[in-house]
Amino acid sequence: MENSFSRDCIDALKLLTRSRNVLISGPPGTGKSTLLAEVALAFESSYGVAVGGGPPQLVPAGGIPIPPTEGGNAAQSIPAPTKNDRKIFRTVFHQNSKYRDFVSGVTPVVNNSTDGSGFTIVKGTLYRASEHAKGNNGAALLIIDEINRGPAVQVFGGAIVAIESDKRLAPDGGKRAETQYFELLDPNTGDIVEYSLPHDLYILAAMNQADTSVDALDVAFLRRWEPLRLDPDENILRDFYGLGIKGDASLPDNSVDTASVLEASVRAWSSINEQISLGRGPEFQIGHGVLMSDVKPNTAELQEVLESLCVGWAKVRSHVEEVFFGDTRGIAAAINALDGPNYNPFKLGEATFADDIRFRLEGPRNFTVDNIYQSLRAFARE
Amino acid sequence: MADSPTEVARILYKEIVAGDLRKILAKSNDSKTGGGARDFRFGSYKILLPVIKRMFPLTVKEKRKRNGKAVDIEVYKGEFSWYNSQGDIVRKDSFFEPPTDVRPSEGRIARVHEYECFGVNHVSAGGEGNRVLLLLIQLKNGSVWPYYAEEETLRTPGKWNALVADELISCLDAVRPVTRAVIGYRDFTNTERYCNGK
Repeated sequence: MENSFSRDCIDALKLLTRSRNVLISGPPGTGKSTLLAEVALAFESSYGVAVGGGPPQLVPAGGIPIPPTEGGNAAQSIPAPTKNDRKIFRTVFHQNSKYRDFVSGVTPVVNNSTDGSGFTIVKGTLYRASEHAKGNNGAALLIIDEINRGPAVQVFGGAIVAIESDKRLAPDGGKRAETQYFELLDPNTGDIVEYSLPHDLYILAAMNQADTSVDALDVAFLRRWEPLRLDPDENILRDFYGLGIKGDASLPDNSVDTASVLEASVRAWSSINEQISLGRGPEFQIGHGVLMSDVKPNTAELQEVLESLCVGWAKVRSHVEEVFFGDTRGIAAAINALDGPNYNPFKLGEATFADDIRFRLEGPRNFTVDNIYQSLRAFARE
Repeated sequence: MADSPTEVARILYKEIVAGDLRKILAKSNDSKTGGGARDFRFGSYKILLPVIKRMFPLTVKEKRKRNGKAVDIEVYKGEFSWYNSQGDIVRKDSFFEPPTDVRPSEGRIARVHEYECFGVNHVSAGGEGNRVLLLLIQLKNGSVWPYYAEEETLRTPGKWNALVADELISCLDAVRPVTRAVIGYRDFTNTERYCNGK
């Protein structure tokens, strides 16, 4: 495994320690899901960040070979540093997510070998994570991906207030004056009981705030989360491509080598994000991850790189068409097709319909190895 | 975050029982402890094998008698490190032998009395409420350092790194048959761990 954690991961852990509920947001392709996985590993392994005053260190000459270590700044950055029974709970919200699946509720049972059909009470993901964190030496991290893709407020139900950091139970499990209780159907007894959430339950959620296909989250709901925003990062893309910092040299007229093609891709991506920010807002940008894959392109042949870019840029194009849906001039502006250079394969055409001017984007249906470089060069506005 | 050369990567541990103490003293010759064999036996061999391979990363052929015949067996080889009484680091080849047909679930560290780090002066007599664990501590740089840990010190707050103490105490406290010695491992580079109790 990686022996170090990213800055974003450390930041997320610090925020979890402080606020218990953290919401990662950012455009698609900015590494939200990757960060969720990284934080999960850091939380569960408790390693590389700090537990009990720092990662275990051998002190060979002393009496105790692995004494407590001075944690320094890192000591404050791991949630529940003294808890040893650490567990991750994961869920993804979707249009059919329900309070019953997340907290508790009655669900039918079929094919029960002893009783036939009937009903049972579901132990939802939040309930199970909470119960684990209430256990001896327990700490739980609940990860919710795509939190805005489901009816989040309904799914949390009465727990919406109880998740707040200062409304949890005390670290020793005792009640505090501020502890917030809510009613739930007890999965063990079937009774309606008052329930509250433990100190060492941490909730990490992620969403694409500018997702055009889902509704915005309730402001009162959002207020209960510490935000952590991820942005498109040109340096990450340059590192992946094996490119240095951007130089002054213009892009060549033709795709002469791998480096120039990859440079065109970075510049085109940056330029399109600038246009999206101007036209729709920065939250609608497209992340660096959309142009990244498992294969490092700088070691591949030129033809292979061009083919790979066609795949990645098809996604960028779809994203542009989605965020400017119904605004043909907006799409054309983003890809430099409004009075763009002659070598841009895309052009904004005009036609008359019912005595009114209609715009139409003209150009290749798909990117190919023959048109991708000139497209990128044009998108880059060189 | 840069690795520290003393950072612990993983710990393999087993309880030292009375028979093991006799082996350290090279006095073992009773059948209950495996005849005259001066080795530390590790049950749960298959489960521990991934960790054993990390701590003993090489393999060598050794001649052993099986059913009265000399055969070549594959033995895992590594290196133990420790400080001698003068404060100098000593390194010596270490060997972990796979199970025999007679004891198919037990691997073993052979000839323990030949290693000063296992010496009886490093271990207390132990006893009820103060069990003793043998720790094989592997650092990030791959070196393996054998140590003993007394239960009483593990339960004393502030003596040990809390993560290590919690891990070992929870396995000491786990429910298991009284005849079964405590054994397990914890890998701090990932989330892997094992304890032979529940």
